[in-house]
Amino acid sequence: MERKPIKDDIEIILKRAVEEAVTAADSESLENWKTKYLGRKGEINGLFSRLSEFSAEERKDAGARINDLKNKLEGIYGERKEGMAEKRRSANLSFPGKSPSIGALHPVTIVTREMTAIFAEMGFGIASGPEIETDYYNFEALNIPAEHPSKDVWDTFYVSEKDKILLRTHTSPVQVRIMEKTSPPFRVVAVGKCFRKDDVDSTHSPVFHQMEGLMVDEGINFSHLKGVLTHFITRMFGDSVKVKFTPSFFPFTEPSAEVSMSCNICKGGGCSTCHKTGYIEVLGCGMVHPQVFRNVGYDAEKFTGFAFGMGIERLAIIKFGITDIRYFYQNDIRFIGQFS
Amino acid sequence: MRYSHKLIAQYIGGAVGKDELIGYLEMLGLNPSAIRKADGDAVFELETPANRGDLLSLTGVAREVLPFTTHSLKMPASGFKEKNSSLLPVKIEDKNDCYYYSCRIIKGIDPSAHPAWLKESMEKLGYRSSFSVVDISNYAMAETGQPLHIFDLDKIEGFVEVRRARKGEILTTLDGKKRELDAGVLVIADSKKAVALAGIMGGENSEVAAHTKNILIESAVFNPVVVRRGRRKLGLATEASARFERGIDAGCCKQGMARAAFLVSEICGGEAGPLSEEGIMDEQPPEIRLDGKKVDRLSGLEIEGAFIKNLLNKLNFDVKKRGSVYAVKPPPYRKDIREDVDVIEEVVKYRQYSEVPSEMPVASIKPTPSSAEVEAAEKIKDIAVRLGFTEVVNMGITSKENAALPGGPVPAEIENPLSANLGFLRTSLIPEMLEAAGFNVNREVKNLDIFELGRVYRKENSSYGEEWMLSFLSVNSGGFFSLKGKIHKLLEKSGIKDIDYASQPGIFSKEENLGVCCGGVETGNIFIVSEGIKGRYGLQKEDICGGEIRLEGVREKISFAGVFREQARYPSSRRDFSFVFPESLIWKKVEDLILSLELPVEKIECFDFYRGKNIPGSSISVSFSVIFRSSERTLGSEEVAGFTEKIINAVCSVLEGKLRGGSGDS
Ligand SMILES: [Zn+2]
Repeated sequence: MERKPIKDDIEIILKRAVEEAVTAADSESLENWKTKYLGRKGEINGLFSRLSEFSAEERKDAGARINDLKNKLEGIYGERKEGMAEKRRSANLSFPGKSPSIGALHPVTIVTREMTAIFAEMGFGIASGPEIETDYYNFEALNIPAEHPSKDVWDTFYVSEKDKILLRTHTSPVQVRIMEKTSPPFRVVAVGKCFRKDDVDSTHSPVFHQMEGLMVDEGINFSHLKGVLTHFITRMFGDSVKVKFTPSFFPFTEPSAEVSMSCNICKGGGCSTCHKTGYIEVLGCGMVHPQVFRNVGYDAEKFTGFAFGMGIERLAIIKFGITDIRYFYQNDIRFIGQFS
Repeated sequence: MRYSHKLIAQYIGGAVGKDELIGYLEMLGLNPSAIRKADGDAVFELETPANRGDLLSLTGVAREVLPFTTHSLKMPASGFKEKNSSLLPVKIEDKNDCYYYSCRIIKGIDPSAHPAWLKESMEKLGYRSSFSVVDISNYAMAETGQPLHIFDLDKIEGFVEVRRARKGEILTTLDGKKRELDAGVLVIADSKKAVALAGIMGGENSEVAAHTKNILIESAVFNPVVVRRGRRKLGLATEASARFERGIDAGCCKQGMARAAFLVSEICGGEAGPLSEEGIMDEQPPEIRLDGKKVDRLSGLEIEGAFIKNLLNKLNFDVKKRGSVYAVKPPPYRKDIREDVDVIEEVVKYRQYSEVPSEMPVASIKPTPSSAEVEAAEKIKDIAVRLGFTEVVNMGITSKENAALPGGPVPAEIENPLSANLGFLRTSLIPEMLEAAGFNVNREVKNLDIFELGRVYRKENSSYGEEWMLSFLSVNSGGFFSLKGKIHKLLEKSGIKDIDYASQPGIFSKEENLGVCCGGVETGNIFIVSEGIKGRYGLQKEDICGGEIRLEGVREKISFAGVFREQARYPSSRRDFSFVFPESLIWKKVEDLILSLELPVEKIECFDFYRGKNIPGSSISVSFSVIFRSSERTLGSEEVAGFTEKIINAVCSVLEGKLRGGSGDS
């Protein structure tokens, strides 16, 4: 069988393709044109598939010619397409842009980052610790005795009560783990998930996040605790916020304090969020109890320190005016997308 | 406990107004709440600390606010005359369970005497008024903090004994519940039967009734731990158990008994007998050395010695001052005061926290390094968001179905779950993410790309493990190869090189699952979620693929350090190839083969592959481009044609590829 020189075919195809491209009136016919010539089963590929019929010598030349044709046709397609697009654009630009999908961080992450950034400015490092904890780190080392009513605040989920293995009820065990391997001075915050056997309602969730902070050095006192936490709260919620420290009780701090801030919703006038008191509880804190220092082998007469703990969701609720803690775990994409 | 201004003020030897009292309580951090003002009184609740049992009483709260005033405490009257000699013998089985037990008989009372003030007080304290002697025992408890119990004397046979319950012993308590007991519970018994749960609640079989004339008043001190264990075992926390758990002192116990007997005699008359008692209270309040300088050092205040001494005296502490050092002994009811810092808290509390200045510490700037794990996690989250994913956070405690996955690790189980569907710890993030996907799809959000970075947990014999997992789910959003590409890009951007894939059965799909290996370590999976699993979450109509990466597996390799490389200056040449391969082709082999030819290859890109029309049944058509570039010169077209030839030959001979199209310039 006599083979037709491929050179001729190429010229014929080029001529025909140029004519058809010029007459393609809309983008649909232009796309059809593209499929016909440049598509997977198009004429160009048809030419390529014939290459195997040639000798190696011929193949090189033919290949180059087909490639040249392909480039030309691609160029024509590009020009025509641009021309059409321009026509369409000049017609009407008033229609809305296509809405892109955009990623977002969860509000817990957003608020956590804001909080850690404020403490990082004051030289605090960031730590983390295990979520499945032992009774020792979660309670005993923190001066919370077994069988004492002070333990009732932390309703605990047990993985094995017999082996004293539980889901941590606060991030405070991270304090102990840090102190066991760090010598003062240091300052650090730890963030993470905590678990409490609380009945679920608009302000309670069995799972929540907490930030724990700890600063230990010689000469640290209660006024430093006030200074650092007052700075944190005003940096987080604005200079107009008033901060109040009142006595409280935690087995691992002495003296202990509860910190509240003037309600940012009613500006102190009294509303349902602040239970008409004008103040919202923000966090618990205190000077580290010497027994905690003794438990980790620190000299409790030489070193003093302060510790604090606060709920991340609670701060996010105050910050954004979120009405129900359950929203954080529903993972409604529309909810999550609101905060960044 | 509920309190009222009037009820507290009667024990303060001077005037203290309603708002004044509430203000003091606020300063002390007792957070008065649910305040109800009516009839010239104010009723409220307090948040008392768990180590302050002494504040669960009206006199205790009165005592607590005294240092703010110049007044002193006025204890309730408790003097009465013993008029007969009847006495019930008392036995204590184990003095470690019950430190002290006392009881007193009162015979011939008038059960109908029931003054209005008593009924009113009950209402203010939040009790439903009952028979007068029951109201009296509750009122005396509210006053003194001592839990008291009143038995119908005629229903007690022989003697009173404090002992452990016998296994299988039955007692119907005052709440009407029949309870089967065992040795974990301490009871009060007579010669024949248990008549009360010690420190928790009385029994019906010895309950006072409307016509009860002869009573037995009990006032005791039980071991706090024994009471706590008992009430937890029975699930029965009461006003009495709360006070015993926090600790009762001898003074309180004696006061309670005396006050109750006084009130019964005053109100209902009758003839009181002598006290029958057993056991002794061994109370030794600690002797604390308090350095006045430490008060200043810890508080940041300058507090004068006179303030400290005066305050501690008012709080009934025994104080001796030598120079700047105090020898301090707290009263026995202050079981919270154990060492100097406890005393310092008292000083700062009454000096008021608002007086302490706010100051920034002056400290060494020795840095505390942040955890590399946390820093990496946050950077990875940022990359995921740049790739268009939205972060979700799930609880991690979930149902058995979500946690115990066929072929997955053994989940840790919660022994005391809140509910059955929150009884297990997750072993994978994917099931909860599928639930989240279902939540959104049901709300007409049909296309989503989500990720979660959280811990998964597993049980290993008798120990438990946890590790960070990074998981993705794409719902109707670009399909498998789009997700695979994004995960690959995320790993690359996290500094992970040497990423390899291999088909293998997975948990969320048997057939369509790709194992991910990083540097030879099994790191995770990317998969098209199987129909069966989609159905379980009501997502059968959606296209869903997922992926999970064990961060533990790549921890060492993560690096976000950018590297500068000079961008190529000479032009590149691109050639397209189209082959038909056996269907079982692994794409990586094509790449590896081409790279092995040692040509100046910059990039190999697969842009099309398909099975179907015009392709034999067991074959797959694959199109890819190869970009050639030299860092030293422009490659000539002759040269490139030679490279192309080499590639075609190698692919055809090594991978059984059949050329479909040729190479093309661009
Ligand atoms: Zn408010």
